[in-house]
Amino acid sequence: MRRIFAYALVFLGAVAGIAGPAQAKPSATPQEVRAKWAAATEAYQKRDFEEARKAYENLLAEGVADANLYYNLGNVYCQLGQRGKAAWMYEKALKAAPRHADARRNLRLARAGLPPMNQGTFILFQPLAWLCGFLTASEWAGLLLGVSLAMSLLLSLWILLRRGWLRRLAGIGAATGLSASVLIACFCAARCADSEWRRYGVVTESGAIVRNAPSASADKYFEAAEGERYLVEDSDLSGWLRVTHPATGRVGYLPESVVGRI
Amino acid sequence: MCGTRTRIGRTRQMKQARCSGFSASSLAALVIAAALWLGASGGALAEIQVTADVSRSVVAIGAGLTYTIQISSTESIDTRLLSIEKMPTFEGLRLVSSSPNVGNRMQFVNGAGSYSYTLTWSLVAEKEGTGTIAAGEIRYGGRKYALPAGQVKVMSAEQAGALPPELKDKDILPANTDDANINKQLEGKLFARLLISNPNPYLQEIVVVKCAVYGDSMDLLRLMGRFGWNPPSWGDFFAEQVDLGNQLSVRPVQFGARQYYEVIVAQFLLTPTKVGKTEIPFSQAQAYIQVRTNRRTFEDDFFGGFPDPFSQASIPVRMPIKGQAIEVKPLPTEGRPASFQNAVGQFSFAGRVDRTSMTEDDLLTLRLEVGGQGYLGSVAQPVLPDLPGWRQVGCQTKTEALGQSKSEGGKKIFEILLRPGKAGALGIPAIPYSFFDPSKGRYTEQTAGPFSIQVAKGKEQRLIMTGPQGVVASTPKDAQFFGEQIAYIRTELAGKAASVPLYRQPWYLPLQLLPLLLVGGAFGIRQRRDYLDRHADRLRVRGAGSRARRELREASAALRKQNLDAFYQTLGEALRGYLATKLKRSAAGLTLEEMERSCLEKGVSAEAAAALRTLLETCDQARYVASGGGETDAREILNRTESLLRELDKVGWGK
Repeated sequence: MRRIFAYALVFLGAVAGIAGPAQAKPSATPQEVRAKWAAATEAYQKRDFEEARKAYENLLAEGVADANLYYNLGNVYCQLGQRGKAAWMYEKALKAAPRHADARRNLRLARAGLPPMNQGTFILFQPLAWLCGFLTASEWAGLLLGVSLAMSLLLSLWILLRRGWLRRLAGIGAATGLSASVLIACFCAARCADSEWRRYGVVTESGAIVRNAPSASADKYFEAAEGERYLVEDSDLSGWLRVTHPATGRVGYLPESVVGRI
Repeated sequence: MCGTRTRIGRTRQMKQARCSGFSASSLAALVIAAALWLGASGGALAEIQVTADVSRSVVAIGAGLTYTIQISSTESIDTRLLSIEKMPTFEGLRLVSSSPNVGNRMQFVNGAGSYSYTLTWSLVAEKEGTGTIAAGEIRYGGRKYALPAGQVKVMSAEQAGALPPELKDKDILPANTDDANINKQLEGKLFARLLISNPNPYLQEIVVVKCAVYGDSMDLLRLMGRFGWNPPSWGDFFAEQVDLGNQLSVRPVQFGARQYYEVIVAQFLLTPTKVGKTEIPFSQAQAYIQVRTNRRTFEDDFFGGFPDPFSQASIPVRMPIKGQAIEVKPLPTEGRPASFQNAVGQFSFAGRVDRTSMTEDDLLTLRLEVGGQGYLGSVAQPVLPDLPGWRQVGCQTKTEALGQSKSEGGKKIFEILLRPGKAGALGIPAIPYSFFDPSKGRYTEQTAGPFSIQVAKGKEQRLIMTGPQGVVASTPKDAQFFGEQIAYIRTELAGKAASVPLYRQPWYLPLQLLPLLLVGGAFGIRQRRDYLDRHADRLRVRGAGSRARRELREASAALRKQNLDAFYQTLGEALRGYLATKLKRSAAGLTLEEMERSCLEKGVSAEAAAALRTLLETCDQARYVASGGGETDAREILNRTESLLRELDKVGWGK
């Protein structure tokens, strides 16, 4: 038994070692971040949008990754009439906080005139896609952990008890928990895959041309609308990105400078 | 006739009664009962309506027509009580068969029933001139109903084949097919023409254009189907087609002395977009007609007949339509209001605001509605007067057409979003809107408002969007406008987006294994418990040696403490317990002889069995005899016991 316990500890330690990532921290102290944030907000309120942009972009450059920072910077871009960059920032805010209602609304405004983002998704999958996007990958992972723990406790109880109403109750709870765990695991996997492996980009400039090859002299394929979201297939093309239009499936090449990576 | 049948029935009854020897009183009672029954049924007679009509008011000589008497009621009609008291006489028309075709129909509409009973006679026109049908009379129960007299105009064959003079003036073109015989038969009986509601409209006034097909009898139109029209190019008109549905309606129309039946095949609503004379060019309507292909004699009807699919053919019929001119008048300049924006029709104008008090942060929706009959495409957004203290930030237009097209009229709604520039009492002056009413031939101006709105100081925290989400600029040109629509910035950091995702935390994956471990552990415990439950006896036998050795260790401990009494007792219990478990017996009931015998039976050697007995006797002796051996003897006994147990372990014990 001791040996099994020891093996388990070694295994857990190994897994923990693999999973442990390098955590990016802001270079500025929390006090400095707060001060810069307040200055940027004040500049916005005074309608000095250029100053606010600089301040928010500085915070971003210092490694502050916050949903409200993205959101406010998106608003600044909006005020400056840079619709594509605004959409990019709102997308980043929504990736960090999917239930950021203001970011969602402003994104809709920034994308006015463009086809809806779920265009091309099969109509029956749209509610599932919405549900999947309702929580972040972390939230799904936490929910999965909690539900699977509860389910395993109930299942253990059901296994250990021999008869009685408590066993029946535990059995029903375990079955429900198991179904919920499977469902949540699917959502969690989809969300994790989306945030880990699928890379999206937003066209930040107007008049961006999608070309047939990663070269400025290549044939023009079509014009990408400002604020439109593309799936980035390949980014290792010396200044060019191979992108796919999510709705039409058209694949082409865009200069990296006109695409904001989400 | 039915009445006659009833009387005959009663006479037979009386004869039968006489024959069967009924008494006079019985017969009288029966007659009274019958009279009462008849009286009762006569009293509950249904109210009926009687009509009599001919199928055609104008026929060619030799052509057939029908005379129909229809009796209808909201209650059931008892046909036994119905009789024709006076059959109408026909002059100039010959009755083809003396007995009529009888029809019975019952239908329920919204829970109310209606019944009809028809009697139809076939007639043939014999003489040119006027065929007359004299008045007649029918009886229902005890009541009499008059049948009205009627007339039918009978024309010569030549006269019937030609178009009536009224239509000749209208340049009607004859319908034609690829078959000359059919063309001859259709001459004067079938044609199409355009019906234009107003050949002299104003600019943007709606003109209704219909393509109508005319047949001289319903019988002819029944043989036709798949009506269609290839409309001409509409040129300077904005045209919208009206959906007439699947069922085409038919109505009789009179051209002079001749009756035709009109079918509207297609209908368009035209809006003139240019002043001057415009020609609607030549077009063609078409249909298919069922023609008999097995005429036995020349006199047989060419069309229709018995519906035999093997002896009928569908022949396309073309009905050419001559072009017509439309003269479009310009809108008068006299009396044209300043607010006129080319809206033509019979409209009304109204407006309202969605609130009368608001804050500076809110948006006001000013809703202006232009509704009525006319081309909605000509209705432009009303021009707002100067709005001091307000700024227009957006507008949305909705069109609610009455039918499927804008030309049929309806409502056009303009929702204008206004943002107050300051707090206080702000006003919106009256908004004028004018249109040209073509039916009156003059301009009409109407106003909406004025409105007064109380604006309170705003909180300056966030802008609230009150209008629909879609009411925004779709281009980024007006950055200021766009910027004002967005929700306000957040003044605090969210503070959670920077963290590493949970699933990448070092403890997450190990923790995810915890449920598996929990369930696995529970499963293992349950398995072990079940195993123990199932094999309790075997496990007890298998564990006898270890239990005995444990007791030997206790005995050894007692020896170390110089407690010889406890030593011998424990040693004896260990040996007895061991043997009892192996022999699956109770230790209390085992005698020394029984033990020795059982050991020998189980395959224990005679020496070992004897040694066992000796040991047990020694233990008993040592406990009960005060002069027992010392510590050295006790240790030797312990050693002997241990070696004996090892030897006994090797025995199978009947496994």
